[in-house]
Amino acid sequence: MKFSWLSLRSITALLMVILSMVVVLVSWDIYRELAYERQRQGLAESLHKENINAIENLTEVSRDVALNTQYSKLFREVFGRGNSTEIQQIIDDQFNQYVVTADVLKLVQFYVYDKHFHLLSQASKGPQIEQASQAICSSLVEQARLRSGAERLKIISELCRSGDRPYLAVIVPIGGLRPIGFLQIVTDPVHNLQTIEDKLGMPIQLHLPEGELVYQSANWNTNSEENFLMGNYMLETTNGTHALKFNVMHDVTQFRATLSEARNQVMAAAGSAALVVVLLAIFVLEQTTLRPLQRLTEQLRRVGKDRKQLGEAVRVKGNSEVRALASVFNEMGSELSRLYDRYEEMAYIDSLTGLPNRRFFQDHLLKMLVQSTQQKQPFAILLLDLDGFKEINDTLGHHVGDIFLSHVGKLLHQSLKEIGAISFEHLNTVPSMIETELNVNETMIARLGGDEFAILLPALKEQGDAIDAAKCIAHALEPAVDIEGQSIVVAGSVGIAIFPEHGVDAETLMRKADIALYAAKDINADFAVYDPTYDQNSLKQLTLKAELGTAISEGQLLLHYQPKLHLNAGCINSVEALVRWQHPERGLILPEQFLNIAEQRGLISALTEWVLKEALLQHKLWQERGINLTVAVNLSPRALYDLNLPERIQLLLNELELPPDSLQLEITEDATMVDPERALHILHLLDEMGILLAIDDFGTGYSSLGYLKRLPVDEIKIDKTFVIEMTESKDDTKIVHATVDLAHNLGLKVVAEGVENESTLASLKALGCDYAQGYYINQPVVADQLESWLLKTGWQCDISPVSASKKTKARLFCNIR
Amino acid sequence: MKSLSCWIQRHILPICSLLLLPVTVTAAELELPNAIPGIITVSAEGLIELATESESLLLIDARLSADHKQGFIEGSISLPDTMTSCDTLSELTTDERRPLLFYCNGPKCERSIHAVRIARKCGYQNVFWFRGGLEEWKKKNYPFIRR
Repeated sequence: MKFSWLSLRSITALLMVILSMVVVLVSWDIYRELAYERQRQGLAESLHKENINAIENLTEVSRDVALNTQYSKLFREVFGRGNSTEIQQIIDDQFNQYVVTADVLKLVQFYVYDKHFHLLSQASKGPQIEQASQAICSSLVEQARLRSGAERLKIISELCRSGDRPYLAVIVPIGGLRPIGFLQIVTDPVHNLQTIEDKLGMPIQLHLPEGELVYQSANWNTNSEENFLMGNYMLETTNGTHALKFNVMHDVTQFRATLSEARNQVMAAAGSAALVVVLLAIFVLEQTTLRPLQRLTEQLRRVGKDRKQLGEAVRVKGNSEVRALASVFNEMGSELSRLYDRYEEMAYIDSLTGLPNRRFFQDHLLKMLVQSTQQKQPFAILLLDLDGFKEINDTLGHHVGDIFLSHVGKLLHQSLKEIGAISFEHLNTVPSMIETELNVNETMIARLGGDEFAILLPALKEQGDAIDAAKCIAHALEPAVDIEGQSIVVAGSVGIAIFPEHGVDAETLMRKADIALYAAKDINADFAVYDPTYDQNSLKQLTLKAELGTAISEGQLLLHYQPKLHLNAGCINSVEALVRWQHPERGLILPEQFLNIAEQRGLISALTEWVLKEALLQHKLWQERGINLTVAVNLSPRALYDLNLPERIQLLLNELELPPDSLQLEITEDATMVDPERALHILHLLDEMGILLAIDDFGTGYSSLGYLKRLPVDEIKIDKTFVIEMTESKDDTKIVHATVDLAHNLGLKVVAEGVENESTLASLKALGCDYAQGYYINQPVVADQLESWLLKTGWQCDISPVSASKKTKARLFCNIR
Repeated sequence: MKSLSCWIQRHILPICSLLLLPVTVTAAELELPNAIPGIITVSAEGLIELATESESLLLIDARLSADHKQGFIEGSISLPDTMTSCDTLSELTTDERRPLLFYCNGPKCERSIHAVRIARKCGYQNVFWFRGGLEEWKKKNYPFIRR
């Protein structure tokens, strides 16, 4: 990591250096071209200047030659005589003289004109013409001829082209202030222009505009052109046409070498500068940004390893952005730290009661086990479960339930403090226990969930201490609690397990406290200390719990049927189906022992379905054999609240092609009390379907007659507790009597349960009760036995309820009565 | 020492320059008289016109003879101002009405002015002064002779 980072920096620096050098190289090329261009321009300018000088010089020399020629006495005499041959002789002499001194100028021609520019004579060695208009640079002659006044005295010159070559012509007056004629001198400028090579110190080439080479320096070198820079210049005639092209060769070897050297120096300087700048930039970047970021990253790593580092602030130096980042980072860290503490607290503390939760309790228990084992100090676990708390939640709402639980938490704390088991003042001090070291002498109260509380009683001297605590708790729970105007009474059961007597590990101790708790509930006691004999029972419960699911699917359940005697008709036309579990090992188990389990495991629905189907199948079977027996099925409270129940029953009836009144459903009074509106809704649905409904165990619940009136039931079953004692207790007889009358007045049938002797049966008949059910008539038996019993007793009714509708049936019964 | 020289440079020299200024201006004014009383000033063209009109025009180069050889207007006589006097002039002409024209190198040359004044004093009535001198002459491309 470090290596790659280092190499990354090196690569960056190297790239920057290379880049800067490339930039120099590229810009240098441009610069070199510019320099060359400037050199070329310079050369052209020099050429221009030298050309002008040379031409001016030649003009002056030509002028002086011409003026001196015309000034000579001899010339004047001859000219005065007007003899052109003589004149020619003189100018030929001049010509010869100047050919000898050709360094100064190279004469081409002399023309001698009279004052009207008529050609008088010309040098015999130059190109010959007939008249002035044919002269070399004839335009100059024409220009001179057209002059007047003082202008005619002026010396005029012209660079012109004749044929394809350039010439310089100068015209001077003959005769000074009073001109008598004119002399035109024509020279070859090429001769003089050649001297430019000496002036510039460079080889030159002179071309005619058409390209013909007219002069080339001896040292003109065409082979090593790369070391030379070519400059050129076009000499123009006075009229502006091209006269001569100049090329000049400038030796740039030295210049080139200097340029290369300078370039290398600049490149080296640029590379070094770039390197320094990059290194400096990296250094600054590292100091202001990278190092602080690294520190933040390190802090994150530390936090990853150790959560406690989370709130620790990181101090960084660097630029403002990085400092701002660090500040936000630190803020976030401390905020997260606070949140983390809070979550930790939430993870260990039950928010409702402020007591430690199950997790905290178990952690504490483990620590306690370690310390208690070392110190050989016994301690006790007390598990408290509230009886009937579920009903508070269901009937008064969770809000009240929550307040009640919170109250229980305080009660526990208070009661344990009273017996000196708790030293700390407030429940609120509990969270601090998360962080502090465990105090083995401190009692802990925890809420394990729902209505289950646990107490850890440390430093136990004897078992009696734990029992005292349990008693104290039970005592504390006794008084009614007023919550939002509702007076609530809830009893609690406490299970006690003691270390090391009942177990030396957390799991065993908790399990045994649980077993003790259920034992206490079973025997309806306030508390129970674990006893090995409880194990069997609790184990049985646990096994049953596990086996119930398979019992339904594997057909271990069966139905027993108890007949209901129609008192007026004196025959049996309906039976109550009662579910039994034929356990392969434990034999027949009654519903009281497994209905709770079914509820706990959520198997009520499946169980109800099975019972309904089985009962209706049996009904159909009997029907096919000519036995008409309505089947009554007990509906558990939970099944009653199943909104799908009516539909499922309808499906079953459809499946078996049975009318609805083949089935009677029995519900207890209390079953409708949890959510009366919902129960009423479902009962109405069932009633509308035509299913017969009965209230079971009537007289044991709290329902009022007013409420009963609202229920769409057809029948009430008086609880057996009233019926059994009837013959001996006048009160019970009165109750039964009143109930029968009342029911009849409401249009309901009455069934008396628990008929165990003949006199009771007779009394019931006398009171006008409609049906009797009980051991005296027959105990619940399997279908086959019931069939044979019916045949034996001959109590089978002739009236078939199958064919009659619900209403007519009621009428029929009335008629019978 | 150094500061003193600096002080002088800063303060004395400008003052001196200021003092010198009027003198310089006066000299410049004196150097270039546009006209000389009693004398007709002419240009190169005026000279040519004179020469054309008057055959008798005497063209006198008032410079030293060495200068004359460097270049002169054709037809001019070399008579340096230093040698100009009524005598030397009378050797050229005694006709006081004959037009005399003096020139030298140019406006900065005082020899022609000098000579002109002498000629005037000597009683010559038609004295012309070619103020531009040879400088103007050459500049206008009029022919001159170099020996």
